[in-house]
Amino acid sequence: MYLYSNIIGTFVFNQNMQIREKILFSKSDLKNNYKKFQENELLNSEEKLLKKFKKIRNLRTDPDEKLLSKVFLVMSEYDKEFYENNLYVTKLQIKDSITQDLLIVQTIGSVNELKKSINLLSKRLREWYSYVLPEVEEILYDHFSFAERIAVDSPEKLMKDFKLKITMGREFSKEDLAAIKNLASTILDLFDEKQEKEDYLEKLMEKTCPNLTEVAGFLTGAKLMAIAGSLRKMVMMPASTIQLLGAEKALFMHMIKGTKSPKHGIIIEHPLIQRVDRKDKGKASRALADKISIAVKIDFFKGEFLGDKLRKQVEDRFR
Amino acid sequence: MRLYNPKFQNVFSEKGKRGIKLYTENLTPGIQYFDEEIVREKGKEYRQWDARRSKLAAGILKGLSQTGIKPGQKVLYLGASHGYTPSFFSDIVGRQGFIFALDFAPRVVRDLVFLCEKRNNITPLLGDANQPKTFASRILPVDIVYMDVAQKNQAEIFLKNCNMFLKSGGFGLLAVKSRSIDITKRPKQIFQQVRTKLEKEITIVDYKILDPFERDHCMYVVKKN
Repeated sequence: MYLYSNIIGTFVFNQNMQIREKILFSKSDLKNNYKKFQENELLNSEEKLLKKFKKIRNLRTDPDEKLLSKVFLVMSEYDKEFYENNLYVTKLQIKDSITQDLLIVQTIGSVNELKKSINLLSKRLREWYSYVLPEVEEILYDHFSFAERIAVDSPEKLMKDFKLKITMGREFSKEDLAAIKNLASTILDLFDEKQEKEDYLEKLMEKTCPNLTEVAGFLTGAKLMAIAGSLRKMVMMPASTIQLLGAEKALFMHMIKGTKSPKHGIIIEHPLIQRVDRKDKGKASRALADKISIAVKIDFFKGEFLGDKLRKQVEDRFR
Repeated sequence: MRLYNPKFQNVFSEKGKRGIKLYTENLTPGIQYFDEEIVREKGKEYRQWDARRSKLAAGILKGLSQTGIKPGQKVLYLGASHGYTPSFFSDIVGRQGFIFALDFAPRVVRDLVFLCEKRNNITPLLGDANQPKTFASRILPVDIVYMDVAQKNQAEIFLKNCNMFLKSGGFGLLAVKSRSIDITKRPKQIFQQVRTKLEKEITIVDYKILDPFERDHCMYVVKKN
């Protein structure tokens, strides 16, 4: 007697390879069992049948090619079950694959895109408003304060505040001016949105990967994770790969054409590396990437908090 | 418009101004999955198969002598991605055939699930092609193994899966991406390396370089004894 189980159920075959007994899986069975398949554990239905029939060989854990080929001949009647059960299990697997670190990747992506949109729209706003008061555009260098003043104040008030006597700009009707002001207030909303997302990101990072946040800072840490793809992928990377995340183009040019090798990728944004001398930047980023790699591994496998120690080790070296 | 049947079953081709276009008959008329061109003729619907998006189509246009794909067969597709090529496989094997489409990344399998819900001869699997044991209990022995994964050990993964799941006499198709094996070496050198690895365990039937449809790619057709 032989026992065989796959995604559609558990079967008992007699010596002539005919089905003696079968348990087809329902959806709730699959929900409980699909992880056991991957880890080659004993299923509940297998246990039940192993108790019922004493002299039996489990072909799943103890395979035999000749017997299995006969089993598969019988199995090919069950195309419909294969279709439905695999579809269901795949859906469950996709559900499992959505982890907290993917939220970080999405959030940092939206922060970066908000930054880009703000810059793009601010440029347009400056060009547009220069028809009204070109002098103010020169004085207010910061995008945020520029948009803030324009959204609130009228051109006359701005002229008074900045002590302008004549202007190169033309007078605008109320309707034309309203169009510019609307754009300015949209940009201000985007600034608010970006700030909100950054606060959320900081909370999320501190919760899911405290060690990485401590060593790399929440923004740099999140950017590294976004380039790697997920926390899991980053854990499997060696420190030297983490050091060069974000410098892929330079790295491959080095490999193909023999240009100079890059020393750092996105990691250069870290304040520690910004601070050290130029000649030490390569060394510092190597040391920091090393600690980041350790920190990420602690976070993924839920170890003790060691972030402050790791951070101190790098900081002591480059003082 | 004239569609005629070349040596590949259920694959139709038409001579256009810019070379040959390939078509398959749509299994689910009225549903378009990607932005492919749809042609209606004598009450039947055909979907255009773009050789720049699918390596198998590129191989057919480059003149592969045979692919071994016939209606009613079971196929294991490794590296299914969004399901562009699998959808044409599903047209070719028809309602009697069956396709197990596997990919590693949850993001693309999500798209694949929507395709599979509309076609009942193709089922999605989320798993690692490098570890056949993890999905062995979810599939059956197959007549065709098609592999298109961008991994460094493509040849080894392919042989592993052929040994485990391919029936004897079945065909295997391997799309090799030389850039993901070694970026510094010349593509032809890599193709030769793959050939020596394959020849040790399996018979090579045909080999074509996929330029200009795919750069630095080639396709091997093998047969299991």
